[in-house]
This record gives sequence, structure tokens and C-alpha cells, in this order.
Amino acid sequence: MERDLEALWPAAEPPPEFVRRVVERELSAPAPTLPLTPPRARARSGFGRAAPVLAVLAVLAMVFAGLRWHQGNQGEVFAAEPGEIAIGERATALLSRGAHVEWSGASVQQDRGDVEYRVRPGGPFTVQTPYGAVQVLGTIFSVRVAASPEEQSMKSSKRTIAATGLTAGALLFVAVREGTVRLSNAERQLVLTAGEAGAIGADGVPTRVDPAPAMQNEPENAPSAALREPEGRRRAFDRLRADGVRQRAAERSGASHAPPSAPAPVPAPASDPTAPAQPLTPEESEHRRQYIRDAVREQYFPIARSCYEELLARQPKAGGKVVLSFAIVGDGDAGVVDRVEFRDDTTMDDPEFTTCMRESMYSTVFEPPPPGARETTVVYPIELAPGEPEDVPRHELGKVQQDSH
Amino acid sequence: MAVVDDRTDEELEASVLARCRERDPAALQAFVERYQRPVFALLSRMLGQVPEVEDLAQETFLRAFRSLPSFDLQGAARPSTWLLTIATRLALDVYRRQSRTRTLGRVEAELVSPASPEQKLEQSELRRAIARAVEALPIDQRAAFVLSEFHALSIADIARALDTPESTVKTRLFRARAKLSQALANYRGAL
Repeated sequence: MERDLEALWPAAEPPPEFVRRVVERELSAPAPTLPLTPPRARARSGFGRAAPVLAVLAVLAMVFAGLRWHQGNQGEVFAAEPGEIAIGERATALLSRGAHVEWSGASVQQDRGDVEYRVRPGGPFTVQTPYGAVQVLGTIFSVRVAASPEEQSMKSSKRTIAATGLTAGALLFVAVREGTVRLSNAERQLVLTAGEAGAIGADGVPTRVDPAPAMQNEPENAPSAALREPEGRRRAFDRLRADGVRQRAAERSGASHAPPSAPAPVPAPASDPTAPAQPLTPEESEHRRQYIRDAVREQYFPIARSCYEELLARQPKAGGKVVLSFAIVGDGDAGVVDRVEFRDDTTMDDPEFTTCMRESMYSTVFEPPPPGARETTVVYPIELAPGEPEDVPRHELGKVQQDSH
Repeated sequence: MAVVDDRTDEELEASVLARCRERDPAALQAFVERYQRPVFALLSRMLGQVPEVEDLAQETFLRAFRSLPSFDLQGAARPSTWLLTIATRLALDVYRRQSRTRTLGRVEAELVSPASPEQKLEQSELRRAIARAVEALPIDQRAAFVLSEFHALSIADIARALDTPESTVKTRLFRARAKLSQALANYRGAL
């Protein structure tokens, strides 16, 4: 086109006060080079009703000693020193010096620092950062999040950049030690499984990166550094219990069904695995079917929907049938998922999708099998079709469900 | 109307960018002043002249400030290209989140060059035709076209901005130009 397109297609002009507004916004944010700067005030939808006195005390604590407050399933910690905290009932977090997290239920906001998370099964768990979100998809996870480079020392910044191999640097870095997580920013998503790492740089795109340098060159104040301390503040994590349940169930059945990575079992909690078998009445059987259906809907479907939506982002016409087979094993006080498999009549075979679906099922927890029952086996068909967001995943309860005695 | 031209405007000196890292108010102001117009131009041509443009422009600069510590001041990358990449990604994300049937904001600005009534009518029709034609482009083609034609980014830079192979960028540009050429065939004499 010979004539000046600029003139033929004029663009919007910046408003007169734009420069001032941007500079003021930038300068009103906390200074990134001060590791103990109090977190900026923001709306706390989940726990904004904390008493004013509590808020004042919190600010003082942040300034002078690092903040830590908890209120039931909510809380906020600004770590003056590396340490470990419990987040709700299902997770622990190992915080590096200067890390800041707020949480409400299973939703965590982390705006700075390195944090290593360990999350027990039981439903969605999300870590939201200024640069993207990390959503737990599978069973038991250990995730380390490195926040923005400017909020860390130059040393840790270099480490992060070296770890990711990105010339532009990483604002968010996630290394997955166990299980599966989703790293996302707006519509772009990336599923990471054990041993993988991902990063989000200034361009906002989740990218798979080499995890090895990060695993080898942890900064001195990395959360896991605390684990190497002689006094060892790390306490036994409850994941051992879940794996222990699986292991004992496998031993009772005479087969080894435990995951390959399962550690040695811990002593069994009080249980009643040898109680005499008591066949369920039809009413009890139906009640249990309904319970399993509700638990799967509540815990598994939100994550399965995410798995499918991610597949649709890559393959818009993807659809079909997934028939999951799994066992619920337990020994008196817990029922965990074991031996998740796809039956032959499954028609969807995308590796990333099936991994997501399978790993996510391991995060579902149930009541233990009925007294005297070794395990409950469930076959659960799920139909998925694009273009029906309200109905996806369509499903029906497993047609095969039986308690093994 | 003043014309934004990234191709001739010089980049800010590295020393100014270094002071931006230190959050020097004067340097931050210089940074925004220098790059605000190309950022607005890019966002408004990708999304239309809609109110969200200013919010996205602010977000672009704030993200850039956060990321400045990782920007290689001595490297070959131009700050404007880097900044436009951030803006492009933001615009694409917003576009995809919003309705895919949205329409571009209509061009309301008047040309400043003097013209006869006949010329004004012709130019006005042409502007509307261009806006309609560009609006009809898929967002990825539109982004490639805008970055190439209005901001003089290279194929390689556009590929990085759109996170796509260079061959794909070439294809998108080819298709965008072909569609625009076809849509504006009736105005060929005016172009």
C-alpha cells in the first residue's frame, strides 16, 4: 500500500495523565529490593473481615519479625527466616527467607520468594502468583515456586535464569518433584509431571524448561535448605500415611500395588482390616454408590474438566469416552485411590490428557471400604464432548462396583 | 494526527533503563513517555479503540518494570520490541478471554491533512473500509500484520512475540495482506 497506513488507520492516543498514572502505580508498589517490606494491601475476599486489631498486630509483626497469623483455614505468613507452615488441613509449605504467602482454604496467593509445597490428596489446590497460577492436579506434590527476580537477591535471580535457560529470565518458576501440576497464565496452560519444570517469563507464556539446574543449584535460602539443617524441622508428611495405606492393602491382598515411588510404610493407624465381612444390604450398597458418585463429582470432576479443557485448547474437536478403573483401599480410617487404569473401551489416548486424568484420580479421597472389605473396585465411564461446556464431563456412575473381601 | 513511527524514534539509553531498575521516578517517566504511543497504537489496532486499551497499556508498563532486572541492557534486543512483545501477549490473552465476536472500535479520528470535500469523503470511506477489513482478520493474522506494518518488527521478532515459528508468521502475513488486498480492491486507486 503506497499511502501511509498510519494516517489511514489512526490509532488511539495516550490520555494526558497516562504517564503520571503509570509512574504513580509503579512507585506505590512495594520496593522489590527490600525483602522484609510489608506486603501491599489488597482485598482479601476470603479473610478480609479480620478484626482491625489483628491487622495492626500483623503489620507490626511483618515489620519487625516476619508475619505469621492463622485463623482456622486462613492465614498469612511473611517469612523472616526459612521455615515450615501448615496451610489448611492438606498442605505444608517450606518458605525461604522473604517469602510471602496468604491462603484461604486451598487457595494460596504467593507474591514473592521461594516456597516448596507439599499437598495431600483431597481436591483442587492452587497457588496464584502475579505471573500465573500453579494448580495441583494429581496426588502428592512437591512444588517450588520462585517469584519475580527483582524480589530476590541477584544471586537467586541468576540461579533462576540459569535454571530455566531463558534469556529473558523467569518471573515464575515451578519444579515438580512428585505428581502433576498445571502452570497457567490466562488461557495458556502447561501440565507438568514429576521431574519436569516450567517457567513464565515476561512474555507471560508458560514454557517447559530444564529442571536439572534448579534441582542442583538451589539458593542458600531455598526452602529445602531447611531440610538439611541438623535439627531437621521437617516433620513426617502425611503422604506417607496414604502410601502406607496402599502398601498395607497390597500386602493384605498378596500383591504389590503400591506406586513405585512409595516410601517405606509408616506404622499403621488404628484400623479394623480383619473384621468379619458384612455384606451390604441393597440400601447400603446404593447408599455407597451414591457416596462414591458424589465424592467423584465434588473432588475429581473440577480437575477432570481442567484436563479436558486443556486438551481442547490443543485439539478443539477432541472428545470420546474415558473409562477409569480404580480401587479404593483403606484400613479403617482412610480410603485412598489405588491402581487407576484405563479400560480397553477408552477411546481417548492423548498422553498428556490421560496422564492428567489418571494422576488427578489419585487425589480423590473416600471413606474407607466397609468393615471387613479389603477394597472397593470402581469402574467409572466418562463421556466428553466439545461444545457442551455445561455438560462436560458427561458421565454415569460406574456400572461395575464391588467390594472385595 | 501525529504518526507513531518506531522505526525512526531512537530507543532510550541503557543508562535510563538502568535507572528505571532503581525505580528512579524521572527515568520511569521518561520510559513511559517514550514508549506510550507505540504501546497504545499496538493495543488499539489489535483490540480496537476500547476503554480496556488504557488498562492494558498500564499493565504492559508495570510488567515491563517488574521484568527490567532480567532485560539485558547491553544485548541486541531493542526495548521497544521487548515492550511490544509484552503488550502483544497481553492483548492476545484479553482478546481470547473476551467474546470472539467482539468488534473493533470504530475509527473516529480525523485526518489532519487538508483535503477537499471529495477527498475527505473518499478518505473517510477508505478508513472505514480498512477498519472493517482488518477487523475481519483473525486475531493472529491481525497481530502479525500490525507488528509488521506499523511497528516494523522483523519476522523473527514477530515470531517471538507470537510464540510461533517464523514460517507461520510468514503465512499469516501473506494471508492477511491477501485478504486486505481483496477487501480493499475497490479502493485500489486511493491507496
